Amino acid sequence: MTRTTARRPPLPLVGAAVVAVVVMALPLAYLMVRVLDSGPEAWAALWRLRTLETTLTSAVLVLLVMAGALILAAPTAWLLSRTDVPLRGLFFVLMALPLAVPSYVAAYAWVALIPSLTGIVPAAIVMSLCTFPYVALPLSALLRRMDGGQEEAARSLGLTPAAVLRRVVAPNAWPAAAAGLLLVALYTLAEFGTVSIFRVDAFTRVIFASYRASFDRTAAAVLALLLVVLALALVVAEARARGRAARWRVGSGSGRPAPVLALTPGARGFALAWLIGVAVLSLAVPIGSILHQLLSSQRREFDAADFLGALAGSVSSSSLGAAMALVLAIPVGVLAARYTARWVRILEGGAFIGHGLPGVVIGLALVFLTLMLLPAAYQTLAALAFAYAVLFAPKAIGATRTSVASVPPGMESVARSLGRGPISAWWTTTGRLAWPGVAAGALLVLLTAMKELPATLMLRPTGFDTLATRLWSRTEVEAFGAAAPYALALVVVAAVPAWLLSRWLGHHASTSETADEVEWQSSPVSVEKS
Amino acid sequence: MTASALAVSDLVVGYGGPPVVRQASCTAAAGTMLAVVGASGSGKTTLLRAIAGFIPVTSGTILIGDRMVDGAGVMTPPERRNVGIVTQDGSLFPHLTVARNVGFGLPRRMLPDGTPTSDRVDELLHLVGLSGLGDRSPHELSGGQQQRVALARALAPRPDVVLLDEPFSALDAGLRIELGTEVRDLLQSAGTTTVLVTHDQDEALSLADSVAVMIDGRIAQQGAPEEVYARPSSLEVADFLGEVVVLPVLSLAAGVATTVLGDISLDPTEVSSEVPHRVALRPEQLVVMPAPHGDREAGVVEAVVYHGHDSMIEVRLPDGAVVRARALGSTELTRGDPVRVAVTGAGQRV
Repeated sequence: MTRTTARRPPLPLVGAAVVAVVVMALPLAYLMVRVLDSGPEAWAALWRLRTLETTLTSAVLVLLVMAGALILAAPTAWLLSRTDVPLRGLFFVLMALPLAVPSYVAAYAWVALIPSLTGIVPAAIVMSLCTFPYVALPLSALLRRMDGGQEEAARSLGLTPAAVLRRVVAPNAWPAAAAGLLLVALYTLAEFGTVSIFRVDAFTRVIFASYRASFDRTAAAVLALLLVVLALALVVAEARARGRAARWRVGSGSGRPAPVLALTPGARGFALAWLIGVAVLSLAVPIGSILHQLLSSQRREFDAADFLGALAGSVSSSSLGAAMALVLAIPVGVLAARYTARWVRILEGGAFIGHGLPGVVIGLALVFLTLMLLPAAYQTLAALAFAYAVLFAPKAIGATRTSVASVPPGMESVARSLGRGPISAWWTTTGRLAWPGVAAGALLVLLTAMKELPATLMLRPTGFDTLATRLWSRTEVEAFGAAAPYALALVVVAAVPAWLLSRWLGHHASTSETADEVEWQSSPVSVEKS
Repeated sequence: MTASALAVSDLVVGYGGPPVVRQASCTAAAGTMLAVVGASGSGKTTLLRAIAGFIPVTSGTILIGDRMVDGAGVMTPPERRNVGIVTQDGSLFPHLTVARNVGFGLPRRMLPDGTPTSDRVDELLHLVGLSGLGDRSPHELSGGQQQRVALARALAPRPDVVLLDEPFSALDAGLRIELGTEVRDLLQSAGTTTVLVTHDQDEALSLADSVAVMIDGRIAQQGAPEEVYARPSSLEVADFLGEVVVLPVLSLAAGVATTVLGDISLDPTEVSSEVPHRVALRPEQLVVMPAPHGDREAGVVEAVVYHGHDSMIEVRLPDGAVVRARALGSTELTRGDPVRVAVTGAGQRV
C-alpha cells in the first residue's frame, strides 16, 4: 500500500469523515447519556439479581460455544492439514460452508426437526456447529504453514510425536485458534435469534424482552450498555490475539513443509467418520431439515404474495442501508487509505463502532433516539436502514480503504499534470479504479443486512416484514412448514458473500498483502452472521 | 583417527518413486566434521534426514557409534537416536524464550547428574557467545544469532552426532564464512562429531575434516579436503569441487602422459594397464608465460577475467583448444598476446 503523509488532506474530505463518524457514534452515545441521566435508577438496575443471572447465562453460553467450536475445529483442522485423509479438498470446502448458514436458521432447522429442543446446551451445540469454521479455517492455515523443521528439531531433542503435538504444535497454533475463538465469543454474545429460539435468557433475549414487555426501559438500556462493554473487550482482545499470531514468525520462512502423517487404514476410518459426522451435523441436518419442511408442508401454507412481500422488504431496507453505509464509509475509507496521521487512525477506529456491536443494542439505542429527538422517524424504513448502516459500515470502510489504497497516488498527480482539475483527476484515476472494490463492499453490506434480525424487529414500520422477521414470526408460532421458504432464502443470501469471498481469495491468494487485508476484512464480514 | 562415530553403508532412501539416495556410503570419525557436498537434488538433504530418522530407509544400514539405528529390521525413532539437528533457518520455537529453546531437550529442572538445567543452558549460551540473551524471544535476534541458538539447542543433550543442514546458507556472505569457522572451532573443541550438508564446495573444503561428494544419490568420493580436490576420482567430482582443465592424452609411457601442453606425470603413478583417454588439471596448475611474437608453438590470450585475488586467463592453444589458467593477483597479459603454457604438478586420469 502506498500512502502519502506529506500532503494535507482536503478540508471537505475531513469534514465529511468527521460528520460520518459523529453520526455513526450518535446512537451509542445517546444510549450512554440515557443511562447516565437515569442515575440511581440505572445504578439499581445494574445491581439487580436479574443482571447477574443474565451475565452468568451469557458467560456460560459463550464458554460452552467456545469449547464446542474448539472441540469441532481442532481435530478437523488437524486432519485436513496434517494427514493424508482422503477427499481433503472436498472436506475443506465442507468445513467452511457452515458459515453460510445463519445460526438462527440452523436453530430453526433443528427445532423443526426436534421441537422439544430447548435450553442452553442445545443452543451452544447449534452455535458451535455454525461458528467452528472461524477457528478451523485460521487453524488449518497455520498448521499447514508451520515450519516442519521445528517439529523435526523437537523429535531430535527426544520428544515423542504426542509430546511434539503438545509442546510444539499446540503452543504455535494457539494464537490463531485464540483469535478465532474470540470471534466465536463475540458472535455468540451478539446473537439474538438462536438464543431466543432455544429460550436461553442471555443478554440479547433479556434486553429484547424487557424492551417489549415493560415501559421501564432503563433496565434494557443498562443491560445493553453492559453488553457493549463486554463486546468491546472481546473486540480488543481479538485484535490483540490476531496481532500476536502475525508476529510469531521466526527465520527466513524457507523452512520445511509441515509433515503430513500417513494414516493407518483403521485410523483413516476413524478420521473419515469424524469428518463425515461434522459435515452431517453442521450442514446436512440443517439443510435437510429445511428441505424436508419445504417438501412435506401443505401447499396452502406457502403464500407467494407474503414471500414476495418479505423479499421486497428485505431488498428495499437493505439497499437503503447499504447506500447509507456507503455515504458514511467513503470519506472515512478514502481518508484512511491516503493519510496515516494519528488522528486519521483514531477517526477510522471510531467509525468501526458498529463492528461487533450486537444488533439489539443499536436497535434499542435508535428506538430511544428517534422517540426523543425525531418521533416522526420512529419505526420508519429510514431508521431501520440507518441501523443497518451503523452496524455494517465497517465492511464498506474496509472495502473502500483497500480499493483506494491499491491505486498508486502518483496516478492522480500525473492526471493533474496533464491538465485535469483535482476532482476530475481523482475521478478519472483513483475513483475509476477503486469503484469495483467499493461496490463489492456495498454488496456485502446489503447481503449482510438482509440477514439482520433483532434491530429489524425493533425498528421496522408496523406491518413491514423481511425474510428474517418472517422466519422469526413463523418459528415463534411453530409454523415450521411455513417458515421453510424463508429459511432457504436466507441460506442462499448468506451463501453469496461466502462464495464471492472464496472466489476473490482464489484470485488474490498469491500476494500476501492482499491475503492479510482479506483476513483483516473477513472478521467484520463474518461477525454479523445473523 | 579413532573409530567412526557414524557409519552409513549402502543406503537407499526414496519417497515412493525412484530412490533419491542410491547406495550411499560414508563415515565420520569421532570428533570430526564430515561435509556432504553436492548439487541441489543430489540427495544430500535426504541422506541427512535419513540419518536423523525423519524418513524410513529402503535398504542399507546406519550406525551411530556401535548402535544400529537403521537396518536389519531396526528403525529407531528420531527421539531415541541422540542426534542433534540444525536446519537452514534454525527452526527455533517462536513461543519460547532463547533459554527455553536451548533447554528444550533437557529435563525441566535438573540434569541426571544433579546440575540445574539452567546452569547447562547458561554454559551453552556462553559457548555460542550469546550470554545474557536467554530472556529474549527468537524473533528479536538476528539471523546469525538464531543459528547460534539452534546450535546450542542441538548441543544441549550432548548428542552423539550433530547434523547441520545448510545452516549458513540463509546468511549473507561475510557472516557465512565468519560463523562457519567459529562453529567449526566450537564443535571441534567440544569434540562433537558433525555432519555438515552444503551445496557450497568452498564451505565444505574449508571447514570439514573429511569431504564426501554426493552425485546423483551416491557418495562418489570421500576423503580429506586436499585429497578430494587434488585427486578427484572422476571428472564429475573434479568438476563439482572446482574448475578443471581436461586435456586429451596423445601417448603414454611410464606414468607420464604426453599432451598438447607437453609431458604430464600422472597421479597415482602406478602403471595402469588401460590407457587413460584424458587427463585433468586444475587451472592453478597452468603457468602462462609471455612468448615472442612469431613463436609458432605459442597460444594466444583470448580473455582475461580479473577477480581481485586472482585472474583467470583463457588461452587458445595452437591446435584450437581453449584452456583456462589461474594466476594470483593481476596479470600484465592482455587479449591477443602470444603465450606459452606450462604445467606444474601431476595430472589425474579421468
